[in-house]
Amino acid sequence: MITFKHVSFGYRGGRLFDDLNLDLKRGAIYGLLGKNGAGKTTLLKLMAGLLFPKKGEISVLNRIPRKREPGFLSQVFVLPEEFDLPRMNMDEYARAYGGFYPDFSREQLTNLMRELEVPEVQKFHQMSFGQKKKAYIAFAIACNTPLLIMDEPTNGLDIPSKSSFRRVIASVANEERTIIVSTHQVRDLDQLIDSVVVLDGSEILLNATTAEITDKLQFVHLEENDPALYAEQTIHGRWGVQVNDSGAESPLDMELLFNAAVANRQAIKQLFNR
Amino acid sequence: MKDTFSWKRFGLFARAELAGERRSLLLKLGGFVVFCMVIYMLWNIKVIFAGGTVDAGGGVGYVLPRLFVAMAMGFIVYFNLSGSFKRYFSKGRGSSAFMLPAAKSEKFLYASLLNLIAVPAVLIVIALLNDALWAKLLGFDNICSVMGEWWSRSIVRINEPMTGLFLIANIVSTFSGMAFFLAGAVVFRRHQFLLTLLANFVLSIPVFVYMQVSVTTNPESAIHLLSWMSSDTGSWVILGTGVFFTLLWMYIAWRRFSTLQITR
Repeated sequence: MITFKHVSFGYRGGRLFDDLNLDLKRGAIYGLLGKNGAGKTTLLKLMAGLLFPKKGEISVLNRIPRKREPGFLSQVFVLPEEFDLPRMNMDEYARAYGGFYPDFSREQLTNLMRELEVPEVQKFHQMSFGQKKKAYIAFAIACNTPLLIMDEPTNGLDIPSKSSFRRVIASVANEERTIIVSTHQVRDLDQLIDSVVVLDGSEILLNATTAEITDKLQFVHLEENDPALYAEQTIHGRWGVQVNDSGAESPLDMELLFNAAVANRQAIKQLFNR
Repeated sequence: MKDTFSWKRFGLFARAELAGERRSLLLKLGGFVVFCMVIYMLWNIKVIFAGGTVDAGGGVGYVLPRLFVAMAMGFIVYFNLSGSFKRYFSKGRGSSAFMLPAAKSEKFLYASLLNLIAVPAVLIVIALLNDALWAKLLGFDNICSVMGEWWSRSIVRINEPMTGLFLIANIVSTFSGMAFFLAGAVVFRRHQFLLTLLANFVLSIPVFVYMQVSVTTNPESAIHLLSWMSSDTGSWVILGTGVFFTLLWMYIAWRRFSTLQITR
């Protein structure tokens, strides 16, 4: 569905990605994790055709994104971290822009706006940033594009809104739809995603489903001298990530996983590329 | 979905964009209407409130307002052209503008038609209507009748410098200047108006230098050049050059637009 083959890219300051390879499958919710400045937004822009690779090939939905053909654009919706909306209300906006997306559903939009508690009649410029973001998220989902790319969608949302966001995303996920959510707030993706991509040091450290991760790793409470790929002291004791030799199941802790991947790069790469 | 240009989708795109830009367009055009009204009123305050003739002082009451209105119109047209692709460089609106499912050619045509044709045409209509209104109120010949008279005179007297061809050649040259600002709007990522003005100045330096050198060293040749320019041959050359540069600037604008990326 999304393939990066030997992709190189850099801004004027230098090279960000060199010989990057990535393969994302249809019908999954991907969490794209990385530190600030790791290149998450750049990776999403390359996928959407908003940036062009210096070398290599990118294929998304069997098309070349950089061509920005209407047939491609109507299948992809990008929700950027920062955005401006025109001085309209959602009804006017939906009438103006909904028609560009073949599977856009006005009814679904109304339901989503209700679910996210955003008034439909209020003009965007009179809304708070969080409300605007929720309105745009609702529109993005209602477009029903096969690929939905969201860059830091939970930034600016309050705690109840973050829960609503997770609920809404989980309710619209299906086998035909791929959703990529980029964030550095890993807790926001707990219980939501079914695949994780960790980007660090300009390379893909990890690209695996949550099932594969919990199959190979354990997120457990550790004793003082227990060996671990990564461990940290909390008020509830020492918690960490171990290689899952026993085959026991443990709930995935995104924050521990991310820290383990960054702290123990080679071990994680070897474990998942086996 | 059709990947090539579609008139139906172009209509949908234009409708959506106009709905989003409605406020800023109305502010620009409304501001121009107010400016036109105020400038004519200011130059004729004495006639309006104390009476008298508008033709006093060689018609300063309608000649100068026309000059100011023309200058304001020029400024709005060129400034507006410099903002033709502003949304594509905006951090907040760039992504949605690029990702809107319309062909690049539809987006480019919309920006070109709106800013090269529609806005200047509406401004001209506003200026003409305003002039006609004040002409009716104060009793002077409106600009349309003055121009009509001048046009028929220049057409009839074919040997005069102002032939129809010369006029068309100059209109096309003006259009190529506008196309230059359209190209500047997409070539420069920021300060489009100022940087295009600067580029315009830099590109015209050789012409300035040539004219100055030829005037100071051989005034006869400069006069000869000016009279040649107003001849039929000269007009055809100006027309051809105007068409060439219009196409060149449009091509540059298109090439740049079709490969534009979001780097902010």
